[in-house]
Amino acid sequence: MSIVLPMTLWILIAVMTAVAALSILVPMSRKRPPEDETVGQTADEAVYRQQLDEVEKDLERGLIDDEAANAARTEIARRLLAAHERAEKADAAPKASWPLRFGQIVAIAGLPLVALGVYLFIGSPDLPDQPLAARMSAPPQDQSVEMLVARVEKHLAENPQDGQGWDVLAPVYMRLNKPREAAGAYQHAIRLLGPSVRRMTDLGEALTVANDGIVSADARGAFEQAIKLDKTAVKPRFFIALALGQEGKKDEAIAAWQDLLKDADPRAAWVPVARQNLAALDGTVPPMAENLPGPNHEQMAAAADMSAADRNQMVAGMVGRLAERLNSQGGTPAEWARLIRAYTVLGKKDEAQAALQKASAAYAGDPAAMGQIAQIAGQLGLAAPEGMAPPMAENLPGPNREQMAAAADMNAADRNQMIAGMVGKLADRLNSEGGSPAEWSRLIRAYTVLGKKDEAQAAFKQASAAYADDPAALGQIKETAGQLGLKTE
Amino acid sequence: MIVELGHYALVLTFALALVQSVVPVWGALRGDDRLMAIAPPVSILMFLLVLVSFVALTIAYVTSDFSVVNVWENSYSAKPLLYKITGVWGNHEGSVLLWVLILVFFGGLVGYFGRNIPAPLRATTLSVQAWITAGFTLFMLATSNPFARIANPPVEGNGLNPILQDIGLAVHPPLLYVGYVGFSITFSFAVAALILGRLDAAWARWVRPWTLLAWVFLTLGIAMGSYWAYYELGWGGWWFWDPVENASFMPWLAGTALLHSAIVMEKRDALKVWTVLLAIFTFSLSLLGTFLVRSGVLTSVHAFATDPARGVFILVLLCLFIGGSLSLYAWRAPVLKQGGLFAPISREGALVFNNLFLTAAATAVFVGTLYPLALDIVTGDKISVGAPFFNLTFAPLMVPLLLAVPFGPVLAWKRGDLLAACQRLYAAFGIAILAVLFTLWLWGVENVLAPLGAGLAVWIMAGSVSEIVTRVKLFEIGPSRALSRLWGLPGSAWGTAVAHFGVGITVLGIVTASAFQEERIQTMHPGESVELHHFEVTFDGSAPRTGPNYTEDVGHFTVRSGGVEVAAMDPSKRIYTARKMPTTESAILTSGLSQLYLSLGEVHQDGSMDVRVYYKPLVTLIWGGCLIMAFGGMLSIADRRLRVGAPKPAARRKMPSAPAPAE
Repeated sequence: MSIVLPMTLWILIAVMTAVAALSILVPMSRKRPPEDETVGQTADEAVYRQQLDEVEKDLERGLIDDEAANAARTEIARRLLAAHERAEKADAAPKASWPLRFGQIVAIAGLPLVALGVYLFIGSPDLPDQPLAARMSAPPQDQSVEMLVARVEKHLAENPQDGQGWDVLAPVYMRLNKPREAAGAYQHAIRLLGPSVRRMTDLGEALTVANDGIVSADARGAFEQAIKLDKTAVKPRFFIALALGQEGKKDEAIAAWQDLLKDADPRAAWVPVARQNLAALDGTVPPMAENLPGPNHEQMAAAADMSAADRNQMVAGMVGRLAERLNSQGGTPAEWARLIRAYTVLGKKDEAQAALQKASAAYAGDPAAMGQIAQIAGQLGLAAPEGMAPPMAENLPGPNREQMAAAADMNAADRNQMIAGMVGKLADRLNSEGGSPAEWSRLIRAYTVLGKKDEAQAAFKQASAAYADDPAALGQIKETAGQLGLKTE
Repeated sequence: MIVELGHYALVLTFALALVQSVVPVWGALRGDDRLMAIAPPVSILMFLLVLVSFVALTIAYVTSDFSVVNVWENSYSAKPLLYKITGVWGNHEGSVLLWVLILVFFGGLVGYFGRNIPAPLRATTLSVQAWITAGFTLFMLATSNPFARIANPPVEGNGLNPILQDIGLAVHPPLLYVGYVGFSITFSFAVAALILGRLDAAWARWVRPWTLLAWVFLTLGIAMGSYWAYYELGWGGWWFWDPVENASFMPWLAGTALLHSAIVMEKRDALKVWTVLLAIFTFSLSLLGTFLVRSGVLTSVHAFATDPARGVFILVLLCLFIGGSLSLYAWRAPVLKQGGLFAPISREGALVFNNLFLTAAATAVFVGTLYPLALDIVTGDKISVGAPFFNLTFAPLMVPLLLAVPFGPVLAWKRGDLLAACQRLYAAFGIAILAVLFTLWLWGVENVLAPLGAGLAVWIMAGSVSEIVTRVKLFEIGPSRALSRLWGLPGSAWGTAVAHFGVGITVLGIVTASAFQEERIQTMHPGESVELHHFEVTFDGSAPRTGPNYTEDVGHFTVRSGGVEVAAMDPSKRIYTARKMPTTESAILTSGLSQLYLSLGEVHQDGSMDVRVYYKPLVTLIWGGCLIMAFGGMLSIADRRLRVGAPKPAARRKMPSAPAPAE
């Protein structure tokens, strides 16, 4: 079918073009009939003659009197004579034939050339029609994720009591990054099928993601219910620990993390995140995972094993080098953010504030960069310098979102083809049309989450090439890559 | 495939328009019949091709083909079929396509029916029409392509602006466009006459039906737009001097002037140069209206500046067509031969008077519409020119014009007799005086202008009736013979009388509805009543309601007259969920020719509502008059006769009876 359709299209296009060319060629080649000639030559005369008749009719009907009729006749007759003289004078000179040739060439060559040229430039001849009904009834393997979701949605709109349907749809929403809809679907599923550890946990996760990574009271309730069902479940405990940290209950959070890590498989994907959180709460280890060029997960793990003094020294040295470089050569907003964060972690609040001032001075004219810096400052509880925009809501998902991704990993649910297909489409589009830094970051993140480290690295390379001369965008992409533990240099 | 076929048809139209732009006019200038001969078939083919495009886009809308960007942006699958179809022109790209469809439709009509037009005039006219076609198809292909595609279409569309989900607004743009764009053919005829350096009888004969047709549709379109604004916007007004309204009103004023000057040209071969200029102005104002509405310059000058591609393109087209045609006019108009002479007091003189005031009125509207825009661009100051400005400029221009309306048809051609004309109108004048007195008696002397206005309206109506009565000589030859004469009256005579009568009706509606309107604006608790005129309106309570794609707060009202329940009215405030857009649904009770109008404001927590109640006496006459005017225009089109203006000979002896002007 897919080959036949364009063929028909081209045939019809050819027919249309031929008809258009003929509409020019045929009248040009035809000898005009003589009566047409008279119409052209003496049309005015005919009009005036008819006007004379009209005067007679008006007179007959009594609409005008004799006198007016006579006056009208005289006037029309005068115009008739003038028109007649004009027609006499009209020349009947022989016509040259080259304009006709020109017209014929235009019809045969010029017209198709212009029409096809323009169409090939702006048209999409290979795209078939895609009426919604046909797309809806296509076999599932030919349909996009969105299409399948739409079908399920339609089904659920008609059968809202189908708990299995909601249960299937909810995780798909999560993957499509629609946490709010996912939470709604989980609530339906729980209402119809009853609570389970997985459903409660996933509901809590959806609520948390929808709430920008902050564990709300509702979400916490869901996690607690999940723990009630299974005390050993890792994922809800992870989130509870996170919630405690967010609430500022430092000691309880530390206890929760330690409890969680106690009998964890050290190779599990969430472990580094948990350790990082624990370290952050401890106040002695910098949360390096989200840094730019700098220690990766291994080094960070190593740092965690060092003694507190050694660690501080290592960090202080790194920070010093970074500060020197930024002061002398400048740097990306992400680098400044990293410096500010490092100072804060090291307890050097004044230095942090000073670095913030310098950074905001350096990016005074760049609202996007300012937003990024302001966000960091806000997170760290620093006073925002004057003129600095409040943190931008549309910034890339912060570290919390990252932890979410790691947490989602614990689920150990196998990734299905849906997500892979989506990522593939995104990659296609970005490769062919390009995209925003945020979209590139999403792709890199998606590859990482799918465990395709090489692809992620390649996408990072492409993105950096695309934004080579845009330091703000580059910084944003690098930040993402750094957070994901990719090589960023 | 259908979509792509439509796309190719549009591209092919562009290519054909390029050929048509050059070859026939070249043939006309060289006197080469064979080159001129391509114009009619090509103009018909262009119409068919754009029709294919339009049908293709419509099919894409009906089948919700979201692989078409335009469909995805402006439609959604759950929309009723009717609004899927009307949604085709409910957006920028689609409406430009409709614009072009009507443009080539008029070209095709001239190509098909224009066999009795002299070949050079027809060929050149169609070439000029093709210039406009080429310009606007290029505009579409370059900046607003309705056939742009998405490879991986989304599942659902973005919906239609809910305010467009209304049958009034769905029908109104096509009518308006037939009016706007219909003037293009008059423009093409005018430019062709300038190029060929000749204006003959056939020219005037051909321009008249096109002008009338465009004018009829424009009248209907404006009337419908006005009624839509009246019931949908919930403000109780029927004309807001809004720039979008003015954009359609300016061509109407110029077109009305053109209509009248074309009569002079057709019948008396006079005012030729002026008529050509008016034809150019009328379409220029249509183009200006298109620019104002389509470029987004009205929404905000700054929005226009940030995305200028479309606006600049139309602006360039505008400058090319208007500047080009006016330059051509300046260069060629002296070549055109001036026609018949006439005395100041004559039918021609009356029509010149009409033209002067109509063009002055159009100028006033033009200034009021464009001055705020110009000021915003130059100084950045935002001012709004509203009703007060137009009341001070437009209204005073209308009064003498309306006063003069009944005189026009009773004056003789070439040289008229004002005294005789007055004598023929004394009855009408008497009726008008009675009307003034009656209005004074009915409503009192609070507002002196209102009875005078009502008198003016009745003067125009009575004048057109007396015109017919005297033409059939009702009082001279008796009713039975007069009836047969009535039947024999030409369509154009009926057209004039009916259209002028319609003007009177509209004026009457405007005067009574604005001067004698009663209104109450207050917060009402359930159970409360307001009394207005002879109605008692009781608020029974409100309730939320959910529609297919909106939620609304409905107020339930009972209307009693003299203690008897006459109607239940349910105005509401809607929120369309998809776009979070509120609309007001007013409730209207028509009683006789007057209306009771209910519209809701704020809904309060305690169940009370802000309610606006209007009683608008004779308000329906405003639109009824427009319908009658359009009907008059149709009667005049239906008149297939050639029209001859028999000049009144210079008086050599005393005429026993008043001169009978002919149509």
